[in-house]
Amino acid sequence: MGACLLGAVGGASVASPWLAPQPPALVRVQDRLLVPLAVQDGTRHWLGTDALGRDVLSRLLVGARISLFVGLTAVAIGGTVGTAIGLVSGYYGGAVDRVMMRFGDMQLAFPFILLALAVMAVLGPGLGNIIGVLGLTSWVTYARVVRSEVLSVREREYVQSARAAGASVARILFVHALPNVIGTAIVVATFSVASTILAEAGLSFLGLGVGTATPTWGSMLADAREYMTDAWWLTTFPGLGILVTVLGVNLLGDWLRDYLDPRLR
Amino acid sequence: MAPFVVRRFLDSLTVLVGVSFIAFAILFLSGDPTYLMIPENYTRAQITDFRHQMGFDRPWYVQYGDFLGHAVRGDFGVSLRNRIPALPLVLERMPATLELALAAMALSLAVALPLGVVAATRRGTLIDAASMVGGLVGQSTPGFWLGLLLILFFGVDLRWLPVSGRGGIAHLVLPGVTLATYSMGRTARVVRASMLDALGHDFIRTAHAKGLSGAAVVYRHALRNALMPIVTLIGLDFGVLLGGAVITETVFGWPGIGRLVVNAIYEKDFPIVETAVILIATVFVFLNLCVDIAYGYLDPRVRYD
Repeated sequence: MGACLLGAVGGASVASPWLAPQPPALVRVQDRLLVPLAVQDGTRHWLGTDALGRDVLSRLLVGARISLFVGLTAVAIGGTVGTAIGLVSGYYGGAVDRVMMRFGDMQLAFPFILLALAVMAVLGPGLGNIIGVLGLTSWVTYARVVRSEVLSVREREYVQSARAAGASVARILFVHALPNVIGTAIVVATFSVASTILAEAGLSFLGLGVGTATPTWGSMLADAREYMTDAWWLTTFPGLGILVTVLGVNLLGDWLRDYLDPRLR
Repeated sequence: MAPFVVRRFLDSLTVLVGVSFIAFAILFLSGDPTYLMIPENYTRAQITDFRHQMGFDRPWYVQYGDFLGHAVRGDFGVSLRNRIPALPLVLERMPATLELALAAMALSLAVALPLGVVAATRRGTLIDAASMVGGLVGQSTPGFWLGLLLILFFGVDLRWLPVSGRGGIAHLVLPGVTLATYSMGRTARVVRASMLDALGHDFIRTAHAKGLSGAAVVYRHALRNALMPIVTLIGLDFGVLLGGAVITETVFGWPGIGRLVVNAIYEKDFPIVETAVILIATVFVFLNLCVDIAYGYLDPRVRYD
């Protein structure tokens, strides 16, 4: 179910150049605020047009691309950094562990969106910036989960014997510890794709996301606020897009959790 | 118990020092505020003088030490915009934000607790499935979008509720519901999972066997044992609510810290941003300290070593 929803959104975003009835940036002021299904000059605007006469469906499709791209890359960054820190921290323990975990506590003391907001305010809007911010503010969860798994894996007999046999730390971490924790990390990553997409939409809504030149679901909603009472479709569809995508990711995460790690059920 | 509380308290202080450093770093990296503060016709010499006077020409660690020294005494600098001390400006907005967050928290728990318990006790029924799908949808709905839809429906179409500003209970309904939705979904799901876990224990069978009523078993035996993860989540959720308030307050024109921060960001008034960030983090850290201490009362098995 989750995979279906995601597949539909993913497929639509990949195929957006062919599916989109119009270039998403094409401004036709004479066609402004057309209701959904309206036909104008031979083009059917399935989801209507916005205040500048741009086709909502075309913009939604590009927005899907941005949302998924930001979600996936930010999570890849956060997941890699967090898993690496968790592995090292859990394996070595001691001072390294204490410093890392205390640092994580500090970061968790900030409500996530507030930290992202403050950093974006300094860096300014931009695709790279938002991916970096959302990626680097999410490492703590992975680090904690992976660390606690490594703490128990470290004491298992096969790891002890690998160490006795002279395996290097890198080998123990990557060959013995990582496969044991990767399932958990993937589950965390899936849920964090969902929260990252929501965060990106929220930041774009506040004008501190990808930037105004690119249509994103969040910025489309921000633009829609002015026309809320006259053009319900401008408010409705971008939000539905976010809801369907995030719901798909969450459903997938639920399924993965049951599948990969029955202990978490 | 006492040594544990002291140690956790010291831990929290360390975290807050770290928080102040991160907040300072954000402010520092935002660039030299000189040009936001001086008149345009200043000469180069006057600018150098001004920077020296304000201490902007000192190395970052000196500036941070100075900042921390002042912050401890409650001096968080002055708003660049209207030259008013930042702390009172932010503190003034605190009650509104706390009111909204607490209302959302109360609403979320009032719905999520019974829903989660019912879903767990009637596992596999339609009620269970419906409430869990509902929970997942709640968790997947972007709050600001829900806010816009609520404004459109209850404020504009039906004209039942005020859509902007702070006032009586009526003003609290729409933003409260908007903010509560996410944590409601998440809490309901955690309550269910935690209850299922508790209901699987032997003491539940014993309680049933000795003839206790179903309600007594569920509420007195199962729910009490299921509370730990729920309390942890409440502590964490409060942070999510405070953060979510940033967007919700913007949508509903709610005069809290969130809207203050967003406006301060637009106006590049970084002392305000910094103060608000530190203050919210302080509330959050303190709350989680309370949660940790509450563990001992909820579950005597927790040992503080």
